[in-house]
Amino acid sequence: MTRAFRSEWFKIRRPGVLLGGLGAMVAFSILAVVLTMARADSGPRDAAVSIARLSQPDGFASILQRGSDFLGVFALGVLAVATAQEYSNGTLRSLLVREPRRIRLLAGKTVANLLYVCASVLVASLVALLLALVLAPGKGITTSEWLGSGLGDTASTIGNLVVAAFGFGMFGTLLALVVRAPAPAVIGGVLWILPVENLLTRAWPNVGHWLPGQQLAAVVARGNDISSYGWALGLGMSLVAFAAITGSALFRWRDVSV
Amino acid sequence: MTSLAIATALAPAAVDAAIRTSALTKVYGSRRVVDRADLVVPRGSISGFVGPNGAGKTTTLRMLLGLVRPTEGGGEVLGGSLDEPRGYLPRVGSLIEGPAFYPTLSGRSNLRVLATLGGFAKARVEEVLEIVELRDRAGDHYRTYSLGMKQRLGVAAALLPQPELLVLDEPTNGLDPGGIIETRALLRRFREQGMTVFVSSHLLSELEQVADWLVLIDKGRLAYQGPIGDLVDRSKATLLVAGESAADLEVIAAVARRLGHGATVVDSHVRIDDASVAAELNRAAMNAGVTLTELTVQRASLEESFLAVTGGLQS
Repeated sequence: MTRAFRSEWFKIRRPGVLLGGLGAMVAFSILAVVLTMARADSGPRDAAVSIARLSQPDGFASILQRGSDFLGVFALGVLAVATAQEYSNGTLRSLLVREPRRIRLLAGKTVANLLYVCASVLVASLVALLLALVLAPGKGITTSEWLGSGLGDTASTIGNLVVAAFGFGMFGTLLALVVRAPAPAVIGGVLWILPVENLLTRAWPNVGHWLPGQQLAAVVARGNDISSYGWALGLGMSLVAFAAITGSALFRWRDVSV
Repeated sequence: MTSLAIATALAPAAVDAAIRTSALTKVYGSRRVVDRADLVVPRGSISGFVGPNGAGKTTTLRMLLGLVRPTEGGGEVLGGSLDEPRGYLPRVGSLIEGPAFYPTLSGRSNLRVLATLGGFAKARVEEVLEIVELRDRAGDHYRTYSLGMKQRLGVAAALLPQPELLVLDEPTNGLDPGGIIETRALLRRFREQGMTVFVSSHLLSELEQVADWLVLIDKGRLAYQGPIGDLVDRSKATLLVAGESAADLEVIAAVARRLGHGATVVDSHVRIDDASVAAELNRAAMNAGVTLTELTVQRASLEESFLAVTGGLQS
């Protein structure tokens, strides 16, 4: 598995890939901070975006939580493309001749890409924090508690973002293994986690309680109207385990005829 | 010979085989893509794997490489069971269905990805680039390569493990005549180094000049396997005969038939289906008042032998 990881990392570490993905995450986190700050006004403390709300110890954590949708698209897209392109390029057959132990190959590749996605989330979160610390005083937002009593909130939100990225990435991998082509895997995945799940949840709120994308969004929000944090984390990780087992079985047993 | 009966020049058990399969079968739905193939590829040979498009060559190669699971049957590659490809694949190099690499990586980086995965030294990448004479362009993106360069990079990737067995699927596809000649020269070099080369093609003529051993497959079933020369020897030689005038041709044909041999007038000749009757026919024709002006023994070409074995189904 180590060789599979290093082989995949060799591809990821190219400047175009590394900086492209990381740059997209950082750019989005900068956008989230700038827009949140621009919209912050003197509304009530319980408003979603208000100076009073953002001055709370978990004020920065609430900014980070606003990016879970993009995080889902990013993580799902990276893993889906990285996995499915081996089929579309025809490179999978070369890889499997060099590493016939299929589960090791899949595990090494997936871990390398998840590491990349999770590292991107961490870096983007840190950039967002630095930017928010710079911009907040100009809007009259107090940040002293962000790194004081709110440090735990900030750290746990970043941790939850990493968990959600892991989950979305695993679903991207499963989709790629099912459809074996990058475009359908990404388009299908994004359509599912954004409009389809949201429409289903609006039409039948109880259904949202069971949908994977909604659970991962609830994990980032540390619980929301749809699912409690504990339920979302438990069900989300169970669904991730299901994706891992199903994907591994497909990869292990299916003929490689592309 | 029945067209699809397996013709084996040597007893398969007598051959020191790099590849040996037993009733190897692959079924997709109701279609038997490979049907009970008992394949033998001798060690140290260049073996050609020939059959029309869709005959089952690539599926067979994929089963040998552990990419496709046989429906029935099994076999051994370099002494390892087909059920455990990891036992022999580290000693096998392959190029299946044309080269496949990451378009935005350089040729060198593409090889590094595979070398890292296979646990081969970085220096080996430079060695194989040198062998296929691609070092000058190794730093360029794969997508900028010509078809010939892509094929050479595919061969370089196959050579990474210093293989005992090299499996190449249509390696000359799309190459110009110069590229085809270079590929043949490479294959000969590999054989001289002790490698076994198993190379598929849908064109027999491509392998005729380089292969020692031939495996013919048609509609998923083995039609022939053995030394390449034996395939030609198996085909009966015929006799082409001409007389002084066109009117003599029917007389010659009648004489041959009286002697108990098949004879057909073809253009300005009579084709007689047994070359051993030349002297007898000459005497009989003389007695019938015909002077023969031409008497030629004609051997079947490899292509004709192949068509005879496969029942003329080559596409």
